[in-house]
Amino acid sequence: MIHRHDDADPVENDPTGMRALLGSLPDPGPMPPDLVDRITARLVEESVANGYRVGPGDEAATAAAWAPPRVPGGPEGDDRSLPPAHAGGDQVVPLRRRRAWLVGAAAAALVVVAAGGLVADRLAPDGLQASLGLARGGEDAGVAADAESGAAPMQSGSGMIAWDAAVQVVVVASGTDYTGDDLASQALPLDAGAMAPPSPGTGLVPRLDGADEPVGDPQGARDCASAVGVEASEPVAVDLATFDGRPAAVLVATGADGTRRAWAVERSCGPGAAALLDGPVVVG
Amino acid sequence: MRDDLAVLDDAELLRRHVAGDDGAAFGELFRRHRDRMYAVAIRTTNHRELAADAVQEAFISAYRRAGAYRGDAAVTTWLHRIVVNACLDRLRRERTATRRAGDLAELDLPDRHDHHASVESRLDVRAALSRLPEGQRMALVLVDMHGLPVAEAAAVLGVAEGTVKSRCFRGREALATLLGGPNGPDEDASRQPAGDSIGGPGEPGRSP
Repeated sequence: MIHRHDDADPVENDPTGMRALLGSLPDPGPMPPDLVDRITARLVEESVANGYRVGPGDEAATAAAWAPPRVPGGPEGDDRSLPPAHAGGDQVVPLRRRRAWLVGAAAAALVVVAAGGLVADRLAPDGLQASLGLARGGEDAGVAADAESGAAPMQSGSGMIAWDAAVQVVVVASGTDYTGDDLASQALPLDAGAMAPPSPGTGLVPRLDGADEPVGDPQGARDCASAVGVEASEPVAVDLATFDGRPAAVLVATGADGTRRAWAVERSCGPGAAALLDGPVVVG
Repeated sequence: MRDDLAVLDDAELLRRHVAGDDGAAFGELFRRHRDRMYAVAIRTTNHRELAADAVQEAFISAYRRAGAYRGDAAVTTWLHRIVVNACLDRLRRERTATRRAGDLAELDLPDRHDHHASVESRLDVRAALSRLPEGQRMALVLVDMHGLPVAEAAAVLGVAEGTVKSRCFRGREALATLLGGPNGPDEDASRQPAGDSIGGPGEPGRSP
């Protein structure tokens, strides 16, 4: 059943009826109260960790500051009241100012082009793309392609994300789950020194959450590399991936003698905070 | 003080949070948007536990990295982006873990031409949705299920508006094919199995 469409058609134009079907599915409903409590508790911990001092007896007041207002007879049955934000006790210490993660830093040097899911196709034949087995156009090739190949379809966010010649950093997202036992061999394809830069206009795949993960930005990655002891002159390849199943980044720096070393770090890795998970290991 | 916060717009709340307050400004943001973010997490993951974990991660991430908000999009768009990304990361980790465990039941795709099972073997709409490529699935989740305008969905996903529309069109065609074969969508296609998993056999960790 193929329903031809014109890309100029409004998105509401749907002869398949799927839009109506999807829209008719029941609403998931409000966030469950236990999840509200769980997240509230975590956010209170964050507040405390960032310098908001809670005196004896103030814990309940602090937690309640995050709670919804009393809704008598409301659908959630949530009858927690909201006390004043400061209910006496120890003096409140204002939160430390957040680090401004790379706001505006090296923005002009970034080469990130929204390319609708296309991957960089101008890497050297023996470069990262071939090494990681990244295919072109897999994402929208349809359901049949996914079923037939048995391979994971190209996900938006895979492939080269950014290249910055000024700081000698290339950022990719290979989808690899690195492990401590195999880091040295798994990191083999990450060789910033051997990669060719993308040609102008070549589509790079923007990371959805690049603004929230400093190590996903070339300047942020360079800061992280410095934190683990990499010289500024050493090219760095960064893979936004997972390490033992948790979000992480793998950095591979190429020394002047060609030796490559790899580190696995948390995505929060930045100046003065290496957040090291593993490494360094010699790649190969 | 709570009444004061309630009249502030999202950007001002975030600004106050970044400037450093006692957490109340972010608390107001959380209160305002938690249900909507939870809904997009459920629709993205089709799994209550994964959605809960992802939305928690997302709010913690937003709390910590609010300084990275550049104001070039609405705060809700920024939050949606963080939540969607957290959900997709969780789904990928679950998929990787499932494949490592050798759960062949997770990898096998049901034969939609199994005439013996007829109605029982037909995928419900959520399970069918989970089988679409990620780009198409997310376009349908955000535009058709969550009701985001195309422009906002494009901003959340970091792609062009035309790409979102194209993915919607193709995704709907693929979904219609999965659900109905030659005879159109099954009228039972919107049924929901009980349990933590909201959809059908395509979910992570669930045996068919």
